[in-house]
Amino acid sequence: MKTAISESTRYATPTSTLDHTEKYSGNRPSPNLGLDRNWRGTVRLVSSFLPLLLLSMLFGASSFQLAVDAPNWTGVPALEHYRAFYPVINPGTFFQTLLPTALLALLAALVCNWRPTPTRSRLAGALAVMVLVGVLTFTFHFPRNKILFGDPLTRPAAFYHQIVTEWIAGDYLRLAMILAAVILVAMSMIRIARDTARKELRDSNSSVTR
Amino acid sequence: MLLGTGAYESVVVAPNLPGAPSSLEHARGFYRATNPGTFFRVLSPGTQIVLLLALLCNWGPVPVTRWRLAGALALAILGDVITFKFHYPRNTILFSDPLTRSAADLDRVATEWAAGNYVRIGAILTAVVLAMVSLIRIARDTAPGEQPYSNSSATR
Repeated sequence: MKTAISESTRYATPTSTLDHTEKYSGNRPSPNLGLDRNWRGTVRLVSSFLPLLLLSMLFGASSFQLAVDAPNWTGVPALEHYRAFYPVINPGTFFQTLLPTALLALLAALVCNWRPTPTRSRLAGALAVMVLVGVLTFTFHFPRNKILFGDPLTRPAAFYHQIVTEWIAGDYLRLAMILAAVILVAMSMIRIARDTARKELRDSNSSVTR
Repeated sequence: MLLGTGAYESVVVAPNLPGAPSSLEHARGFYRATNPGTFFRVLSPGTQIVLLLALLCNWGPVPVTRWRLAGALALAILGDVITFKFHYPRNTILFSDPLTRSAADLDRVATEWAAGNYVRIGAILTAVVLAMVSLIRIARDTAPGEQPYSNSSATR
């Protein structure tokens, strides 16, 4: 005859005698970001958050230049106004600060997240893409910047129109590369968040069973 | 993106605005085909719509994520309120009205514009941090092998 176990008896019985299937009881320490006690996990997350923030800023500012500044480079008078409007500080100053900072942040993220191979590959990919952005800027945009914003405006308008068209085409490529880097870093951050959540879950489970 | 453009305006555009009226004449002479307003009138509502979608998609599972995303949306809207109430009247003075005011008056308006932009950047930066923290939280809650929305009871 089969004996039914009453609810009270069942709850009084040690879980080990019932089964070994671990079920969520609702009161285990959770992988809550605000209660994060795993400093390595926090360092890994913050190190991936910073380059994502900086790269997003770079993407936004580059989009602004492409959408707002570039369409106004429509001839010699416009270029003269542009040069005259930026006597104190020019866009180059902004990008020459933000790009190296983003590269450094990416390098730090790569160092802090070297261990899991997929994350390392994504961050290394993002860093490589951003180095290429720097190379593109130096080799393609800088000579054209010099013609448009540095040298005397003595050439025909058609020549400047051609240079502006080339500059814009190059900027679309640069923007696509920055976007690719943003996506790679975002994917890395999601992966790190998941990895650190699992680790905290393991840690909390092991501390409960100790 | 909004944060980057806001920072770009503060770092690159705003320091060149003082020196009126010649600085403003050059700005007006340059921004003929498009101007920053054209860009922000697309990007700002776009950001708010995406945040609203994120809020709707993450309404149920974890209340703390909902509140973070709602906070980010509220701050993005606050950024627009600041733009409409504070920056638009100054934009009109700096970039539309005849430049008949004194140079000191125009420089004061430009300085106010720059100060207001710092507040706007602060609001957007906070919204970005809230959205990123929500993304991290959602990633953790939806991690394979993770108890879905495990901490929702603790955060209520």
